[in-house]
Amino acid sequence: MIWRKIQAIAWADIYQAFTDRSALLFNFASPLAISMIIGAAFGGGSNDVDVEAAKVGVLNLDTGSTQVEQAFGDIYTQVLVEAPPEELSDFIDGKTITDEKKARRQIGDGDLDVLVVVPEDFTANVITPDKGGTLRIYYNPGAGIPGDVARSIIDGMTTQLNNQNIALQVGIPYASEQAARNNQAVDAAVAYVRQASQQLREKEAITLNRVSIEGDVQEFNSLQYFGPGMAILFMTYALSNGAISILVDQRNWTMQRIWTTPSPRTVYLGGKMVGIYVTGIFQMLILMLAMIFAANVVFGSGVAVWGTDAIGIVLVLASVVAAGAGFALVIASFAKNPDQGGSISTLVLTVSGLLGGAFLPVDDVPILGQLSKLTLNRWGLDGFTTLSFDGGTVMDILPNVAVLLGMAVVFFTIALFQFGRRFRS
Amino acid sequence: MATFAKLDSLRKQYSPPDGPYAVGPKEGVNLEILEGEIFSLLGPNGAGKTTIISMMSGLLTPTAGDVVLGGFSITKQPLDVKKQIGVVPQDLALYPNLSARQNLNLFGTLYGLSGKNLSKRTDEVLEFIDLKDRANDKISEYSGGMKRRVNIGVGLMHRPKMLFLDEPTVAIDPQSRRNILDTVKELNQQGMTVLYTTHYMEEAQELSNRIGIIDHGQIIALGTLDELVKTVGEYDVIRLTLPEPPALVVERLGAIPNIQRAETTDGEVRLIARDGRQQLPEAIRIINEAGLALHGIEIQEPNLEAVFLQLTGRALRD
Repeated sequence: MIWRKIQAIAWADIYQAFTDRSALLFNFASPLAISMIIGAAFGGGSNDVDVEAAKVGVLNLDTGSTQVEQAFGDIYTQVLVEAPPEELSDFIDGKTITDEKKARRQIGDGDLDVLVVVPEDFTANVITPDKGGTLRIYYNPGAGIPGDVARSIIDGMTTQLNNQNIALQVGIPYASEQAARNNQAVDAAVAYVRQASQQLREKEAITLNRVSIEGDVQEFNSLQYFGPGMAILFMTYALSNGAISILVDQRNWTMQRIWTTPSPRTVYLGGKMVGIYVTGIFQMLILMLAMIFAANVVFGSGVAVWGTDAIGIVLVLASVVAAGAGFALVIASFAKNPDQGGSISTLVLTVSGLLGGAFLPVDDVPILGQLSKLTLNRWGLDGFTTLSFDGGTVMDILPNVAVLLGMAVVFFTIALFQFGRRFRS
Repeated sequence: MATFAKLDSLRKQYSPPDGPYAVGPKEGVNLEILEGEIFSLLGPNGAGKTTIISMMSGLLTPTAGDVVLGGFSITKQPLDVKKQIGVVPQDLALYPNLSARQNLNLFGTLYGLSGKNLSKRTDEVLEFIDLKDRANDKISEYSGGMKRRVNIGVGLMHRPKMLFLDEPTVAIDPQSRRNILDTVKELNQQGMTVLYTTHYMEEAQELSNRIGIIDHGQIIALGTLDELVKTVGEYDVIRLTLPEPPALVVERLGAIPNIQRAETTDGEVRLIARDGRQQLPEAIRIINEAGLALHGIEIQEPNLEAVFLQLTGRALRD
């Protein structure tokens, strides 16, 4: 009987939350629109969110007997380390590597974002028809956007070199002949054969062997970051509306009327809490589905915006909504009336969203990065991005879940105490 | 008739920031409401009517005393008491974004109804408050009178033995007020005990078997309408519309033999007078002598207003 009463109160809240058109517009359309706008601004499925330079190491073992036979190794070293073109200099912070093992360790430690290994006889193998060379790329998936940018640049370079290599193969006799006469052999060869080699463009002599130090290659979509960020932020707004409805009930006397029914007072608060929690879960689920649709259909990206680990997603979802519900109840429990509650909630939740990285990543920002750890937004967002961008599993997000559930327990305890004091008659 | 509800030394002491003030004298409010009667608590706003209803319905914990209702103590067996009472608050305590049916279903569930009993009772109540045709419309789309009817309907869902109505006719049109008064009478005829609070003397006079007059948290008079009116004897109330009368004139009016008291309120002088019609010529003579313009005269036979005026020195509406 008690549970049926709790359900009845929860149902009334959920029904009202999902039939209020203005609330629906705010709680569902707004976060979706903002995420898509930010997503579009950052290129949807592209990787150019952050302009911080990637730390790229180049180990050049391609030391052929002639200048031609070391050309490609030199090109990677020149472009990535010694004389990067102006348009790339903001994105690449290159250095020459001599110890591969040490460099790979640096990748794992995060001291290096990408390591390019140009193997011995690379150019010689590449320019030999029917042979080929493999360029090894080591990277840390946790390096974030700078690492992605660096990998994209290397991919682009390799594609161009593949095209030019076909020309080189065609024109190598000429190039070898010219090499004896001047030092511009490679350029001359390229210039000579570019026009004649269009028919062979499909062939790729250089292959990239990309090795993730921590896991598989992950494609990044900006919705993987801003989607959860916005969803969590607007979920907290929606939950605060639910929590403030307690103050509205008090003002309208619906709460007092419920207390005149033969039901313990805890039934009312229980019903409210269940209603707020379920509303938050529904809100998040709808936004999650909408953002998957947006990423896949609108931006044409095949990434899993929320990751692929279903249990992990459920755990982060359940815990972040619990923390959000508790936080919303705490704010409402200290407000004098619904109007004050609305103003305070908007302010506190927006600041919490900002600190938590809903609008921009703050992990690397001094002080803010530490302060963000006080917000549920940060832990929820980090949980979701761990699952999606980093390809994490349940084990990886357990700390986030533990922190969020801990927050939920603290918040609910404070809210219950404060409401208990407030409603003591 | 047997006693259905008994207020025993009931008192509520408010502390800052809500107070300090008390509802009930030091010894508390003692009152008995009889089974099957309509008992009205009549008093001005802020007199303590809602506080008494709140203590009787378990919303407020009494500072002292108890309420025994249907044999159960509100302080010791609150849920048993609540099963027997329906409460119709002064505010429209409804969810505006839910329909009348949804509101009735919600509160019916909270009163312990379920399944077919719940839906059957919801239909009965909708029929009783004459809103079956609009049952699925949102409350926010209703007129003020319709909302008031749903407000009453919610309190009837579990067929309570006693209904508390706290100023149910505030801020509604005359037709809706008439409808509510008729509803209260009908419920009482069906055997329901009613506690009705109001600051409208006419409603208390029309509805009540007995009336308690409350002021500043204390019940200052109690009885049937006839009994209460007898307490003012044959005193009439003479209302003289006299803008800004000098204090000296009011004093002279009060000094007329057989005039017990003279008061000024809102451009009006009120005289509590034995056999008012006989005293009127002398009063008019004094006003004329003072060179004042008399804009209107009204003589009221003894009624609850006069009772309240005599007991408190103030009009009920003050």
